[in-house]
Amino acid sequence: MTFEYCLPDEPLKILLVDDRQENLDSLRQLLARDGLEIVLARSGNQALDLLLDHDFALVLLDVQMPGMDCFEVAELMRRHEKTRSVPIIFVTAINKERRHLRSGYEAGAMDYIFKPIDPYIVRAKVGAFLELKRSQLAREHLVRELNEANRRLQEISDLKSDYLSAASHELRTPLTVIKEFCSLVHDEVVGPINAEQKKCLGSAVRNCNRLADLVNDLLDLDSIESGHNHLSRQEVLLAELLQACSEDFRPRCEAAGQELQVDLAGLDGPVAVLAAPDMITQVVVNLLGNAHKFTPTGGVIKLRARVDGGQAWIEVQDDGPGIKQADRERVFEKFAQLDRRDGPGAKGTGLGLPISRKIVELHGGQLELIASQERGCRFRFDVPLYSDEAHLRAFVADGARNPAGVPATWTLVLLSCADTVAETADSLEEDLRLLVRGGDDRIGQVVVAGQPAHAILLKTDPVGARAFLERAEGLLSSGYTTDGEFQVALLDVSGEATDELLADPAALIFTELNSHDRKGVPHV
Amino acid sequence: MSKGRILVVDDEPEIVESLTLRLQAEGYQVSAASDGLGATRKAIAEQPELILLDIGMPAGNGHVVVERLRNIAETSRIPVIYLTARTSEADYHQARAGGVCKYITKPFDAEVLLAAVEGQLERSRELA
Repeated sequence: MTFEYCLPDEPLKILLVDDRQENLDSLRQLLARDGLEIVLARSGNQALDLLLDHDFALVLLDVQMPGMDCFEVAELMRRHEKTRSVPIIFVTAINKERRHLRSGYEAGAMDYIFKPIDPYIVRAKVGAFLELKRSQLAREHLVRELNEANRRLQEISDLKSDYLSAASHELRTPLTVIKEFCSLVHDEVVGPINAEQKKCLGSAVRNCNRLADLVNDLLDLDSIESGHNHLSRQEVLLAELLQACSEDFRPRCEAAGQELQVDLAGLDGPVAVLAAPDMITQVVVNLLGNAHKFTPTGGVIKLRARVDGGQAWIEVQDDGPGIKQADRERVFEKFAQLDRRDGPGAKGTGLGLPISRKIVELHGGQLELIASQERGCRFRFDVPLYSDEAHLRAFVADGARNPAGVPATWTLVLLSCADTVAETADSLEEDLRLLVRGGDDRIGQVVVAGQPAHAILLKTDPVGARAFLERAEGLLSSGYTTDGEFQVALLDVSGEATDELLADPAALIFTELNSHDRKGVPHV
Repeated sequence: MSKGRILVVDDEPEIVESLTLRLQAEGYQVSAASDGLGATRKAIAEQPELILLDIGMPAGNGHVVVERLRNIAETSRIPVIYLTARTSEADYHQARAGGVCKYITKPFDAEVLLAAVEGQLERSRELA
């Protein structure tokens, strides 16, 4: 029976190691095949040299060699990154005692071939390993292609965003001119006009505003979808955020004869969430705006919040005509035109809900229109509650997401932090690629290594934080530099010393978690 | 007796025109420039009390102009309000960091603009 080695386009290489030339020659003759390159070595040393220069699919190693024995060769191969995973077959005539075999396997042999050599068996075993190598190569090739495809896609996405940005800039300029001149005539700056004319121009100005909103929303949505937006989450007091939103909104509701009810009883005590405050505000304002548009005079808009599980849930309920069951999902489509009669307030851009949904998803939540017994619409979304661990995770994730100037490898220095945070850091080790634990003595490593670094202080005492900053500043000013960026993020440092620390000149080199305008340091 | 002297800088002549009309109707004395170079020259020569500055102009964009003005004794204290069609983060933060007082996107609301102008002039007169 003949075996077909399934060889890929590139010739595979195998290494035969034996101190006897005649053994090498006969083995080579046995295994010779198109597309297979057979390399010979007469000693362990020679084999190791060759292993460093070639990418072998397999090594056949004679057990009884003088000089460096096969166990040593296997051991050395295991130690070296490049040769660690090359399969080894020990070729032996010695007794097949279990003990002997076991030490061979322990040393790193993947298989044995026994002398006298059975050609059938040798070809079968070699064939199997070659097959493995071939599929490994195929997989690696696929991965490379995927990475390249991703890179091209990202390029296209970036081009699209640049294009949108440039286009919007061009759109805004004539828009400004139209709006201003219409406004000037409307406001009678260039002479009196009659009521009819005023009405016409008022309409023109309103639509300029609508156009401007549309341009803004388009940019916003693109920025979020393409991952170009800056996401930076922090501890946010939910009640305060919601109060601020509702107070800003109240005048509009009152002017339209609507009642705005704010019910925060479900937040038992001060509740902090992990969120980017501007973005969540945008979502709430969008939902309130929709509610305002579709609620009739005399109607009620309800803003509610409560805590359940690990999340805070926020709801906006309006009093309007509601949305048909069939349309419940469509409402989140871009520019969806649904059959709702407009109440007071201008028509929207059609992008508000898609943008809001995306924002909530970025925060790890869901925005939904839920079926309710009451008339009208009830929109609900959730935001995760704040915790140091969640903040640390978000910090790493947001850092990995954000464009430009973010290092691919993070160095994390953990100093005197809570156990739970330490555990979180452990679980992030994969994302972080390099995790440094310990105290001030590790700062030198971090700064000097010449690699981009982020150091995070978590819930530590002010004294420890100060010591860290001083030490780091000393190192930086004595000439050590990093090619990338060195940032220290202070996460919830306890005590009043926080402000003092941040005002410290040393801290100017660093950036507080989630703030971005420190000199010379691109923000995370 | 004018309410104040303002220098308007924008490379779009129609925007300059509409802003001039608006501000003059409010009682301000308005002078104009259409690029960074002209803006610097006029600022030094006329010593306006406020500069309305478009960021995205050729020949020295707004940020560069402001930096130049800050480095000249006679103009270093003139407050600036940025007008911009760009809402990118970088522009926003740069505007804040340069000691600039206000930042308005185009298209703007006339009321918002006028309020900003008034507020800015009041503040700088108090400080003087």
